[in-house]
Amino acid sequence: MELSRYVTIGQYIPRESPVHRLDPRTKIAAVGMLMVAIFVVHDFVGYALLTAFLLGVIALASIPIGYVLRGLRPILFLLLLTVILNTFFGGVREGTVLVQVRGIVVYREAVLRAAFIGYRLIMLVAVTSLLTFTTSPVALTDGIERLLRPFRRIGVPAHELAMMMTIALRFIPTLLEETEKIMKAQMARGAEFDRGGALRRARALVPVLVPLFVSAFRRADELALAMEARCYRGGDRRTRMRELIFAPRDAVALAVVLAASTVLAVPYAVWLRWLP
Amino acid sequence: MAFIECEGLTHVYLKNTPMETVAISDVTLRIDEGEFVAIIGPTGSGKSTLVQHFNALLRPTSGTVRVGGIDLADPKSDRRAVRRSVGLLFQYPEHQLFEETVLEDVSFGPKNLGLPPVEVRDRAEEALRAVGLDPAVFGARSPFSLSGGEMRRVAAAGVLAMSPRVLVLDEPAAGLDPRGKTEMLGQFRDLHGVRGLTIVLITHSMDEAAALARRVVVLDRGRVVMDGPTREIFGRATELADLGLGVPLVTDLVRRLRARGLPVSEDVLTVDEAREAIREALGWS
Repeated sequence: MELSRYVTIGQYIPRESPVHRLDPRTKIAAVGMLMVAIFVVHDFVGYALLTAFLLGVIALASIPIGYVLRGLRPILFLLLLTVILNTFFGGVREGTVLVQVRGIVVYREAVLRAAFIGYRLIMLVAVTSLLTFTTSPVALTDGIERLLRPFRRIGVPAHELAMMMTIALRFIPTLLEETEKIMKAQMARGAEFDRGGALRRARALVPVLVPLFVSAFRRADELALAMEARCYRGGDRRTRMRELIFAPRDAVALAVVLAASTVLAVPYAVWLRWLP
Repeated sequence: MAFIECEGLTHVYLKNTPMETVAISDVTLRIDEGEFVAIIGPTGSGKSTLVQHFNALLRPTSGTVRVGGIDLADPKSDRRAVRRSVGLLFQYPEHQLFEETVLEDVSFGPKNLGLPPVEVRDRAEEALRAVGLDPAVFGARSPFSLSGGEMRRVAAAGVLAMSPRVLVLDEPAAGLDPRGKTEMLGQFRDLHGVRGLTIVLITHSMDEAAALARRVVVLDRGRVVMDGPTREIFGRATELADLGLGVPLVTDLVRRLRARGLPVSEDVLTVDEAREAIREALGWS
């Protein structure tokens, strides 16, 4: 039993690659731009191009493609549900009829739309997991903090948010490990987690959740103490060991992603039709 | 036939992912019923991974593990039967307590075995007594109100209540105060000596291994590098030092005395033996 095998979302894969070396702000911005492109595109050619672009980035980041796909496992159910609902209840009331069984009509257009929406979800997850695969949690939150800093004026606690995220991300693997250990300890005492109906399975989790909560609180306590012992006192005038530097390669990367997403998005942009 | 048999046992964590690590490789090991075996090795040598195969918590990546004749590589094998016969006490087991009272927590195992309530209670109380806790005093208390040492004993009782034939202990005395340590280890010695339980003890303390075990298995980077009677293993002090391990304190003492010119026997594992050997070397006896 290895829980970390199944939870790849939010995991960092240390590699020496051009994508890894980019400034986290660049990568966050790039993800934003690609997301816009993913939402605007809505036909085969567009998706094929986007997929090719993404595959290129994945290859450049030297992340095994299987690993990106594995990140989809947790949303598989959501994905299926979305596709099914959109096929039957997507609101498409005309077009080529594919199947007609009694009152239910499945239109070609509805199937296409459902497939596109499903594919969009897949690409969204792929893009965001690519961000976390190539960016260490600390760099990621540094980037977010820096991007949020302008909003401090209007009361956004940028540093505190970033610190909370750092801590939360930092403890995901620790708590996973802990869960695995506690599950094993209870299995050694005859507990079974994969038998019986939903209720029995839920009840079987109590011997795991109680110790897990206890240890999470203990860890939080210890961490708070350790932070205080090192005189941690929040954001103001805190210096950093690693300053974020916007290098020329970041400008290049941003330009490439911006160009790619613009080129991809432009043919679909409705507002262009009103231009002369 | 040995009770626990590993043949060419290899375990790889997160196989086929970027985080793949080989924890143990090609381990061949036999443990007979009634033995008291210590497993020693530097941190990360695969000790915990190895023993988790003994009660079917991990499946071998390759090689075979047989426990009481049950082949664990077979996906259809009865893992529950294996877990009934091999009890595993994890490192820092006090972190697994969850019930409202000590007695209920210790009853968790026997309840999972589907025993009738009366027998569950009997077993839980007996297990508590075996670890030196009076059920009348501790039974109704919350496990979270106990001291660290008491919590650890409750956890040990939780495993004992399953009435295993083999008890695997992963650093049972780590982090206890000296008295807690002595008492805890004394209880395991009794379980072995009086009740005839087979015990596999993982430890970082050479003194513990020397005082309790009759056989020592040394792991290094996932491989068995030494396996033999305790006396013989601790006679290979230089090799152990190369692995980042040591010998029991008294063994070290007589070795140093010898280096200073006292013709004392090096074959010493306990304080009593050391006293005898030194007296003999000095010509006092």
